[in-house]
Amino acid sequence: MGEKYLMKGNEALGEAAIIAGCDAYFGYPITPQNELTAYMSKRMLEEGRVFVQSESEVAAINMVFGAAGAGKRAMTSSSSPGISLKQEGISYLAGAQLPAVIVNVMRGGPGLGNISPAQGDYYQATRGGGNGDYRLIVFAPNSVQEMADDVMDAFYLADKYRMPSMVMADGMLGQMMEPVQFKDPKSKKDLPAKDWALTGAKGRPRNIVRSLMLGGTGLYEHNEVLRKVYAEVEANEIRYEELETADADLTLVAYGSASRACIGAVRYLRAAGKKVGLIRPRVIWPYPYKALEKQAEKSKKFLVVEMNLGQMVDDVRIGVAGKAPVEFFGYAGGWIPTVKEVVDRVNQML
Amino acid sequence: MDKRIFIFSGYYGSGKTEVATNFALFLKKGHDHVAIADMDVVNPYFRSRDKEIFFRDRGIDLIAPPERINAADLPTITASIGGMIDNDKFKVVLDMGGDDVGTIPLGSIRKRIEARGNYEMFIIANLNRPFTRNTEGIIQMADLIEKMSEIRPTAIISNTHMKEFTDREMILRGAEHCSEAARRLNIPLAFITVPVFLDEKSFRETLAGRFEGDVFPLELFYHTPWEKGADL
Repeated sequence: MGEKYLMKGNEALGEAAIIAGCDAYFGYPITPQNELTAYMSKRMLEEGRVFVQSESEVAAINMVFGAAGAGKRAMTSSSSPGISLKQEGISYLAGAQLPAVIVNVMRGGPGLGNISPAQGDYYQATRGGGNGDYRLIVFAPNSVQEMADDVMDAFYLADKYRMPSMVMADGMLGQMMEPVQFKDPKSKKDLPAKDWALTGAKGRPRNIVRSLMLGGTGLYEHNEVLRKVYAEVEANEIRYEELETADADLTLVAYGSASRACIGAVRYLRAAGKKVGLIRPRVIWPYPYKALEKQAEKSKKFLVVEMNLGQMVDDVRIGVAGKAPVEFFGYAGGWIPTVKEVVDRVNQML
Repeated sequence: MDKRIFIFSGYYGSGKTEVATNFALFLKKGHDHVAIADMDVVNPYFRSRDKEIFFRDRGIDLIAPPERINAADLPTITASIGGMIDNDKFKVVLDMGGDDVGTIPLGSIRKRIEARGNYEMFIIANLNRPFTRNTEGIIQMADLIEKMSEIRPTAIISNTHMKEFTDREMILRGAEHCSEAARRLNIPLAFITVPVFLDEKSFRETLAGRFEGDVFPLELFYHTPWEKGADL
């Protein structure tokens, strides 16, 4: 742990990527994530690494494909509509089994929407916005500190499983300032060698990086490889936090900015003697279904709070599996829950 | 504060809007006509334009893009700012955007400001921010801002803080570096901000004994939505 800084979430994402050994950043500006691109334009050059402001989001993600194919740690970032543009490239990265980090600082949608914070890209991130059967490891930070920590883990796990990973924040997390301390980078010694990378074939058989697999049973076998990788990620990388869940009659479920108000609401309601808890997924794929299943044995009701019209609520319902009613509280288009709004809603249900 | 126009500039995230807002309230105590102009073309969130009702309730004129375009993802400066600069009845606070680029909008009104003479160009610095960790960083910022805005900074405001985790030792360290930067730039250290929860007599005396700048108590008005839970 180094010294403490006061940073915007967007800046912390950038510095953490640099500490994690990001060799190359490619991006195209869009609000509310611009500080990340601006930060990288300054710092990557200082570090003697690669920064390219590409001509489009599509170009940026394909540059990531190239850098990742060469065995380098590469990153791109954007906000919602820009992430939509990157979906083809993300699917190609997954298909070619290339590790890379994609950052989405979500804004309002659909379409160009607005520049306010939102969580409308949950389906896109966890169900795959691109074509084919693929997954991303998706981190859902709720503070500037977690944004920094998650970027570092995102690089590590991408390399570990040879797949793209995503850090999904929102405009509020990107723009707000909080204290942050950067961790030391994780050693790469336990990571698999990138012997598949395009590093110059002199003295060895050539490597080919591609997602096109025509003929025979090649694509079938490739999908079976992916199935195995994703099963392994599901077995090892589920992350969530519980707050006051042990005796909770009502359990809140929220991630990212929406979870900040829920934490405040749990504290307030507990002080008033009400048995309310929170399950906060830290990673939203793979999803903590088992934790919800377990919680459904003791909790009588669930309330999911999201800054959208109800997306993660589907996953909560899968986990709870009909053992308890699951209600939803959320709006899209710039709404961020306050502690009072969550408390009022919980009180209606108790 | 016998000046009429107060420009608040500094690195991105140094606290310009928070300090400018407090400063407008401070001016209002002694003057009937105070205006604050949101000149931020850089930052899409936490802007003085989001506080329309707040300023109206306190009798301060807010000059900001009209509501229907105030979240537009493009730089907008309101034309009425020019009229306000020329109106000698008003004390005017200009809340600029971050970094040197944030002062670009001054280009369109620089000549009018200089023609009126009567202005302060503050450089605000927070030592906890990544690019102003020391005296050199503050001087570099002041130079960049001067180059871009073509207005020479007239004073420094020390605004070292870590939000609710600010402590007095931090404020002293920030004031030391700002004081040294001011000395080297040959301009005064005008203020040392102290959040109201750390403001007390003995600390004011410590600061007064060591630095030329006045203590400026700071109330915090810009919060994330979940911090506004105090209304429960």
